Amino acid sequence: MRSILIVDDHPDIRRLLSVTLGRDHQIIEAENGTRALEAMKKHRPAIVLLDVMMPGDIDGLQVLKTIKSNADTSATLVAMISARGQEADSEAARKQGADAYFIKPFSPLQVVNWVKAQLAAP
Amino acid sequence: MNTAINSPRITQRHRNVLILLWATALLLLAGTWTHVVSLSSETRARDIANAERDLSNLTRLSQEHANRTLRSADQVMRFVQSRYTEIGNRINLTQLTQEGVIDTEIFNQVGIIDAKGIYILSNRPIKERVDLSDREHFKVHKAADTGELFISKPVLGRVTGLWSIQLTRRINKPNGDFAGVVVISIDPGYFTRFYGELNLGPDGLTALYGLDGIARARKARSKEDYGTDAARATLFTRLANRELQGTYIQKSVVDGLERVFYFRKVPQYNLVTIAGIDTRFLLENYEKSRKALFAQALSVSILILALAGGLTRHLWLLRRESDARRAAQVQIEDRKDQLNAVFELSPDGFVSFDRNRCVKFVNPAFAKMTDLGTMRLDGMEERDFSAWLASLCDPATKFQGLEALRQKGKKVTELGQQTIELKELGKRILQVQLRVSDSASVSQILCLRDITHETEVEVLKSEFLATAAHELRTPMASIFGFSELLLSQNSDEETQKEFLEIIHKQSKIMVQILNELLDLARIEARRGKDFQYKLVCLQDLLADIAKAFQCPADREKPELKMPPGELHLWADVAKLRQALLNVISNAYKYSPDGGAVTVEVQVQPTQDGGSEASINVIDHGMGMTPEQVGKVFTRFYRADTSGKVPGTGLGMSITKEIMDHLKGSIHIVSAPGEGTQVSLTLPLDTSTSAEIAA
Repeated sequence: MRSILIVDDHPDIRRLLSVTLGRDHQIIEAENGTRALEAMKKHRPAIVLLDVMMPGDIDGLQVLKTIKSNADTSATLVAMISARGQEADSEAARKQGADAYFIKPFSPLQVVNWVKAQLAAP
Repeated sequence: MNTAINSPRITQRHRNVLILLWATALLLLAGTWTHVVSLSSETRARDIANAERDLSNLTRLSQEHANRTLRSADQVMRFVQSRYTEIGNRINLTQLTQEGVIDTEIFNQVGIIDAKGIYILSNRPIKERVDLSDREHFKVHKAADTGELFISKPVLGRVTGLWSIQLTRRINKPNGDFAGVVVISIDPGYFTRFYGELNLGPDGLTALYGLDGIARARKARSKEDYGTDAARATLFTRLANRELQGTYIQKSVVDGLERVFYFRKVPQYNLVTIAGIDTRFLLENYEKSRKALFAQALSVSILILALAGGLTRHLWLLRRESDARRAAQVQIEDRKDQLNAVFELSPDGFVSFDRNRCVKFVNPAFAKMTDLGTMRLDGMEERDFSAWLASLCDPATKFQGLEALRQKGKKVTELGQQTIELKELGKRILQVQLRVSDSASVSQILCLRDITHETEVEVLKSEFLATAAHELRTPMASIFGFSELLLSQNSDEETQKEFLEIIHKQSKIMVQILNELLDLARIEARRGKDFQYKLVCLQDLLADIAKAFQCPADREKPELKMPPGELHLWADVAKLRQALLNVISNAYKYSPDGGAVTVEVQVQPTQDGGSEASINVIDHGMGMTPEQVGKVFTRFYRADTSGKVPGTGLGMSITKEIMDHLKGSIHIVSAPGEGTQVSLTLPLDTSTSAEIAA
């Protein structure tokens, strides 16, 4: 079973995503960028659901950049989840190699469908 | 303006010049006419004097002539008288004539009338008996013996059939009785014809009058007439005054013509000779020259008047022109003053360029904007100026140059303007606009408006909106997501409850954010106008807040440290309560590890003699770095980065707005790991709080 890393500073959002995906996947949670990078090394998740704006030294985009620039982790699928809904924001994320961009409020079912589609692919 | 002083002075000068001008003109006119009139009257007087002199000479001659004629006639008569007395009817008058005793050239006839009035003897043949007893020259002598020569009025001779004057003398018998009369007839023309050759003009007059006013001989207009009655003439008045000669000018009583006369009485005879020249004839030349003179004077007068009039008009025009020029100058001065003031005081920068597109003028605002300092731009060429300004700009918004702006301005769709951002100098954002001018000395004006603040406000607004949207999206994500899960999954009751609780909690957060946003918007929009001020007792208010404050379950209520007595201040209670609650609530939130929260009141005097109260809210929590303190009042800014401290990031913004409107201030002292002290300072109402404050 492939694991999914959920990174968000809001516990309710982490809870929402873990409930949504928890039945079929192993869920790892991280509350900020630093923790997320630690979890990456430790658990090697297949998919990362990453909040863009987080307090602390490392925000979502920096985490994304680190994941995609590291040869070991660059294959990891990263979906950004952000309250910033503007074109420029999603564009910046895609440039850094984001595989999907969900805008808050998002539909949990859509996230599930996206994860399913990604994992089903050869 | 000094116009008010100048104007009347110039008017006064102008008036003086006009007065002088017209006085001179009138003086010239008076001089001219006086000269002309005196010249004219002098000429007239001279002409008349000459005529009088001529006439005087003439009458002297005629006087002599008359006198001599009469005397020789009298001699003949005396001779004939004595002969007749001697020899009676035997006297041969014809023979006497042939002998030359009687001159027939002068005397038409010499004869004797007897005592009965019958013409009995003559030097000419008597064809028939002639009775002359009714004639005056007979009756005079018959009536009395005066011993004098009688000169009759001109009569038409019954003997000769010609006009003649009868000169008569009485003949006495030896006893003295009347014996008859000696008569000599003289052609009256003899007296007047004497003047014949003298030129007295067409209407000249010569005459010999008896003192009785009857003309013995008169010749006027070359026509002789006799017996004319001129007794009413001035001449006889003068003679009555015993004047023997004299001159006068009179309109003739006979023919109505005005003449210059000269008269002389003939001595020993009751006769006067007179000669006159028609004044029209006499003054003909004078009149002509007078007319010419007057015409000339009139021309000169018209010339003088025209000259004065022309000068007056010229002066008037000059003055009008100078008035207009001065008015225009005043207007220009006014405009210049206004423009200078505008240029000096305008917060916008202005740079004007002369005809050659070199910098002509730079206003203080521009110098300040670009930190010009002592650098001089005057006379700098357009290209150099463009390059210089471009060098000040951030490369991303480099100044395009004046030429580019001019080209841009020519297009209908675009304005000749550009927004530039300065590299340094506070990174000012300037809107640059070029205005092309058609004036003689200014070719174009560059206007620079500092829109840094507007731009910042714009940026802040859109950032605020984005942030607000972001802040609302986060709770919305939970509400949306969990409700979708509830709808799509069959969860057990416990899970459902958990989800609903999350939805409820996040909804509350959303409502709180919305409320606080609205609060902030309302305070900002109303700018404190809806504040309802009341005199508030500070201690009562703080005690009430502390009592009602719902602090976290394991925490102590805020500790109050207040001076005794009552402190009063004017405030909107609800707003002040909101501000205090925000601060106290933060003190608890940011001291999650516990520690007392103290609310302390201090009173201190103010510089203007009043006093103020500082409400210090002190916690012993996580504290903030100076950088964080600086951002406290930024909307949605939250010092907590862990996500553990709940909140919207709007509380302190609201508190700040409220304190500003309450004329208070807010001050924060904080150190990381040690805690924070937030001080809200408000002026006290001195009338009710003075005693305590002192």
